[in-house]
Amino acid sequence: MKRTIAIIALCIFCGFPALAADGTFTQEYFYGMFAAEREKAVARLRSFAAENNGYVKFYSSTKVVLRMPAERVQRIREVILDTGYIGDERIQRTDVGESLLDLRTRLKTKESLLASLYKIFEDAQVQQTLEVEKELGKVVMEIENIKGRIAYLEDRISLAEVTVSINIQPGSKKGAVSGRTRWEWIKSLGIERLMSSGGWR
Amino acid sequence: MRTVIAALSGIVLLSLCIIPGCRTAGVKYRMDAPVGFAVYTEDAASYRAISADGVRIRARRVENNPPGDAAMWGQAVEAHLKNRGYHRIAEQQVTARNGWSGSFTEYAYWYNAEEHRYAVTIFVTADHIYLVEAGGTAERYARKREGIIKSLGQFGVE
Repeated sequence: MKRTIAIIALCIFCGFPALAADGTFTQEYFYGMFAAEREKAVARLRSFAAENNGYVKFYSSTKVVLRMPAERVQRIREVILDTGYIGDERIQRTDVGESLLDLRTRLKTKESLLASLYKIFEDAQVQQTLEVEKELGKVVMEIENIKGRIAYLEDRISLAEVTVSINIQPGSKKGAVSGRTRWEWIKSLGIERLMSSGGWR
Repeated sequence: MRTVIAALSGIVLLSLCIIPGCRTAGVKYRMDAPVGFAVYTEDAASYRAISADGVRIRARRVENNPPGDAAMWGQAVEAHLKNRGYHRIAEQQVTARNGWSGSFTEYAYWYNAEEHRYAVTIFVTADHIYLVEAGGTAERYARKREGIIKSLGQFGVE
C-alpha cells in the first residue's frame, strides 16, 4: 500500500512540471501607448525583439507588431514604460489544446491508413494500381495539410504576438510635429483628443 | 445725483452686454444630431454629441486669425494631420443651414490598436473658423457616417 502511494506521489511530482511546461495557449497582447517621441518607442520595441529571439512582423511610425517567445513576452510592459506610458492594455489567451489533440489523432489515423495503402499498392493488380495511387495522393495531401495546421498552432503557442499602437503623448513638446504647428487650435484636432475623456471637453 | 445714476445705468448696461459675450461671444450652435446620438445640453462653448457605441461629434469655433480663407485653413489642417500619420480617405463639400460652404474631410488613423475614422469639417467666416469633428472606430463610424453628413447640412450658429 505504501509503495503504491509512493508511486502515485512520484508520478504527480514528476508529471506536474511537465504539464505546466506543455503549454497549449496562444497569447496575444494589445497595447495602446503614448510616447513623447514615436521614433524612440519604435526603435526600443524593435531592439527588444532582436535581443530576445523574437522578430518584428510589422512596423510603421504608429504601430509595431512583434512575435516574441512566450516565456519572454512578459517584459513588454517594462519596455513600453521605458519610452512612454500605457493607455490601453488587452491580453487574450486561447487554449488550442483540444484542436491540437484532435489534429494529432487525425494525423496518426491518416498515417496508419497511408501505411495500409502502401501495402495494398505493393500487392495490387495492374487494374487496381490507378485507384490506389489516387487514394494515396489524397491521403498524402490530407497528412500534409494536418501537419501544416499543427505547425501553425505550435508556432502560435511558442511565439506570442504583441501589437503596440503608438500615440503621441498629449502636450508633448519633443514631438517633431509640435514644432511645425503654428496655430494652437490645430494641435487640438485629431482622434486622440476627440476620443479621450478630457480632450473633447 | 443724476450723474451717479447715469454712470450706474451705464455700468449695468455694459455688464449686460459683456456677460453674455463671455459665453464664447454668445454663440449658440444649431445642429440636428444624427439618429442614435445624445447631445450634451449644458455645453455653452461647444456642441457635443455621442452615440451609444462611442462615436463622437464636436463643434466649436476659433478665431480666424491670421485671417485666412477655407482653402488655406483646410490645407493647414490637412498638413498637420498628415504629419501625424493620418491618411485622407475622402473629401466633399457640404453646405450648412445658413448657406456656408464647408469642406468635409475624412481620415483613417490607427489609434489604440484599432482602425479609427476621423472627420473634420471646416466652415470659415470673416471672423471665425467653425470646426465640426466626428470620429470613432472605423466599424462604428461607418454605421453613423450617413447620419453625420446629413447633420452637417443642418449646422448653423445663432
